Amino acid sequence: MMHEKEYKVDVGPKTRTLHVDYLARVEGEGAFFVRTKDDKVEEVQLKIFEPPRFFEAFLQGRQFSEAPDITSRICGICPVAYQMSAIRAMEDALEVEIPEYMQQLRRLLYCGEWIESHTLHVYMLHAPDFLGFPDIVQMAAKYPEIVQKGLRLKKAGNEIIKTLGGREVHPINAKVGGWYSLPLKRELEQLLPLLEIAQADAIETVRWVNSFTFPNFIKNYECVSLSHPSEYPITQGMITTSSLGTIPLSEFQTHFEEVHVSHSTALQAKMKQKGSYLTGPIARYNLNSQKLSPIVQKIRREIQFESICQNPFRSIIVRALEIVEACTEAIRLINLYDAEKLAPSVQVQSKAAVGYGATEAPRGLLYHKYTLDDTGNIKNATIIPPTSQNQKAIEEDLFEFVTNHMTLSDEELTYQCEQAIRNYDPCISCSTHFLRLERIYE
Amino acid sequence: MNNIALIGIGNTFRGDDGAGLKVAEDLMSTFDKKVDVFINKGDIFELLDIFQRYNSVFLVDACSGDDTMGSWKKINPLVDILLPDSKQSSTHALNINQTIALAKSLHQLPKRLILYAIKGKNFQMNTSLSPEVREVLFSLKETIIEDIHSCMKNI
Repeated sequence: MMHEKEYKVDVGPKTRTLHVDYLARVEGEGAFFVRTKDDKVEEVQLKIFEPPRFFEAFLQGRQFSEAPDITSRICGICPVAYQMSAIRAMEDALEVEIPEYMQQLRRLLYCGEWIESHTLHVYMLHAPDFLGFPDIVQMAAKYPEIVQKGLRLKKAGNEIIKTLGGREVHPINAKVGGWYSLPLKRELEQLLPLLEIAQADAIETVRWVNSFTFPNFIKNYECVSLSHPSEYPITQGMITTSSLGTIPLSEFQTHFEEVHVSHSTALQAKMKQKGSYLTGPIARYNLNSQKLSPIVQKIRREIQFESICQNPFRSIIVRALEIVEACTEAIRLINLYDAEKLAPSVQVQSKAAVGYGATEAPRGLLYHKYTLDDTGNIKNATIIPPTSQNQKAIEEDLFEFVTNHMTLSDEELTYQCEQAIRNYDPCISCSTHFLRLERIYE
Repeated sequence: MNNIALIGIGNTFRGDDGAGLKVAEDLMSTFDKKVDVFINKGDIFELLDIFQRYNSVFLVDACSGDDTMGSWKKINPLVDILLPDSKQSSTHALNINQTIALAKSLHQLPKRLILYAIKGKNFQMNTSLSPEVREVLFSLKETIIEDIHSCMKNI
């Protein structure tokens, strides 16, 4: 993937400009810009120029049952997250309760997505930074067995999604009220040998990424994620923040708002009265690490990784721990499954209502809100993806990082800024799903 | 499972980027089930998996370049230098050149790999195959059939 860089040092007052026109190894099209003067950072912009995609607009008038399949097209990497958040919001609106076995299958499907998405990011996008390679192809030339491990892991995640969801990309089996069809027990059990190898590979991945050298950068983030009384949050829970504690989903927009900035086609989110916040693996981990499975706790203690992570560069370790968690959880859920002869779904009746749903996409909290009319058509949709929510935090990280590393050369500083952006595994395609258009006639 | 795979790569929603898929779809029933035919819409992990499982792999993909639009070239990536190709279906993925390079690094290339690269004219969203590309698909398919039959005789 090609990108252009510009390093410019002006004469007169000491001004440095770092400008990367096209970020490499992130999903979607973005750039960044940093301007310093007299050894002070004056301006930082994460520029997203990917075209807006208007999903919230064209959901209007569609049936509630279509929202999971339409919104899953927002992203090819995290379609399950969109499906699940849409389903949760519709079931909230229509007061649908599903039995535990259907809920467990949703969690299993989501584990598949966590495994494949996190693995792709760790191995293909982020690890090359720490090892000094421009991409995975170069990394594979020196470390073929390590990359093979990543490919095995990704395949394990994809196989879960294919088996339970019907296909690997934009799975088609989940719906409002449950599932279109339930898998046979033996179909899921066939995944177990693959997942047991994946779990071992994931544990090795934790040890591997823990051996990297990390820049010294500590930040006390306002963390936002779901929390649940009995499980590490993936498919359900209440919104929890570092400072406000637990918030009902219906009050999300009371405390958080989206704003449009001129340098980005993606809306940015902020916490009212607080400003930027962080969602994603570090936020989930910091707020919920005690809920991780015993296997993950054991590997965490082995590598002496604290229960709170404040260095965004170490997010790769948290992602690796979450891959172990997802493999472990997938094995547990498959062993529990005994519902193939039961009903795949419950009845759902349309009514005029408002519903709220949130799940933990690999990149963080994914919030949906829908207003339905009495025929079940969508009158209004609000979708707030994690990458939008993290934009402000990314810019602030860059501001602080550059401030503390002014002695680095332009080339090195630019490289580390790009790495800092990749800490967040931004999915720019998700963040540009909506743009408010205001037309002024003169 | 057979020893030979034919893979059409591309995106039907992007004009001539659908050419590889069209060829694979047209040849799906040609080889009397002795060749496994795949439709690949940019999943490099599936490609890597297929490279590992088959002795002989025939790839069909559209590309951009300096050649006459609507022409096609047969390339042996195990020997030849690949055409420069910056076409990429997703910034989360690799293009075909990078995928083959990755497979080489991982010692995962099949014993025989042939790439038929179709020079496309138009890759705009929501468009269909250009007349120039449609015109050459017949001769391309004939060549692929001949090559695969020859491969089957040698196995």
